Amino acid sequence: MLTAKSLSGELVQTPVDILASAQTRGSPRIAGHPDLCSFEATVKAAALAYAAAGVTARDIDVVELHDCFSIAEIIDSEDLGLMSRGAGGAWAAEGRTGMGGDVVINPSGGLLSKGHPVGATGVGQIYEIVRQLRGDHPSQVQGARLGMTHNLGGTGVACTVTILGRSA
Amino acid sequence: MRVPVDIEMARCVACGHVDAITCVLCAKCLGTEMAAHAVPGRGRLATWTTIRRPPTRFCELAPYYVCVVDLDSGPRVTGRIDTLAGAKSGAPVMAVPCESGIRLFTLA
Repeated sequence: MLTAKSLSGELVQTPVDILASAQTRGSPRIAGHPDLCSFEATVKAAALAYAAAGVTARDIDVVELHDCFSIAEIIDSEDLGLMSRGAGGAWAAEGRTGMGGDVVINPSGGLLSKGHPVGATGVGQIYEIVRQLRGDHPSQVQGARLGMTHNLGGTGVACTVTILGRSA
Repeated sequence: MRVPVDIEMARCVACGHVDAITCVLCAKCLGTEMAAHAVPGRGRLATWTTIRRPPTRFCELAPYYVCVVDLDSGPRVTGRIDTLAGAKSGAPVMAVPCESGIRLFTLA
């Protein structure tokens, strides 16, 4: 249920706040990306969302990002600023993005685990983060208070980053 | 010496911006008059990948190789490359004729 914050207390027992949602565009073509290891749309959307929510990448506890291919998780996590540029692969290999790590990425299993049902993927990411923030997820990230979703369309042509927070 | 075939692009009549695909609107100045513009099919291989599970209409061709090329004239384009033997990032490539109309490169 999506509702005004003033009504959420009486309608939902454990409301979750939408702190920011930003959508941006990038090139529709691989050849339109000057850096093949980054999607401009993600970088821009993340910057807009962090600014609107008044948080930084370090504040995020759990992320559902667009790992449509295994390399995409590494590119996306770096584009979202979750670790420094070039460190995404090592962080994944060392478990720093796993349960109990520095930032938990795709505890749901991500797109590759759910078959990436285009369209439903984005709604699914929101569902996952909402349950994490309510604290009732079967694969619960302990103490999660701030969550983020990242959805990237086509070859980086459109990106949406949403930041959700557990209501105080 | 082999001569590369030209690659067809679009050029904005108003601002001169060259786009790697035929389009009706200039991505730079939003001009609406785009003219055909051929550039020499010569450049350098940026990267490539092997397609082993192609869409149905390309099944007969698999495995085939898709590449990204930085043309000497500036724009970056995608295409196919006939073989990966000797392929490395930065290697000179040239466009060769291809019956199917697909942009095809070979190591120069």
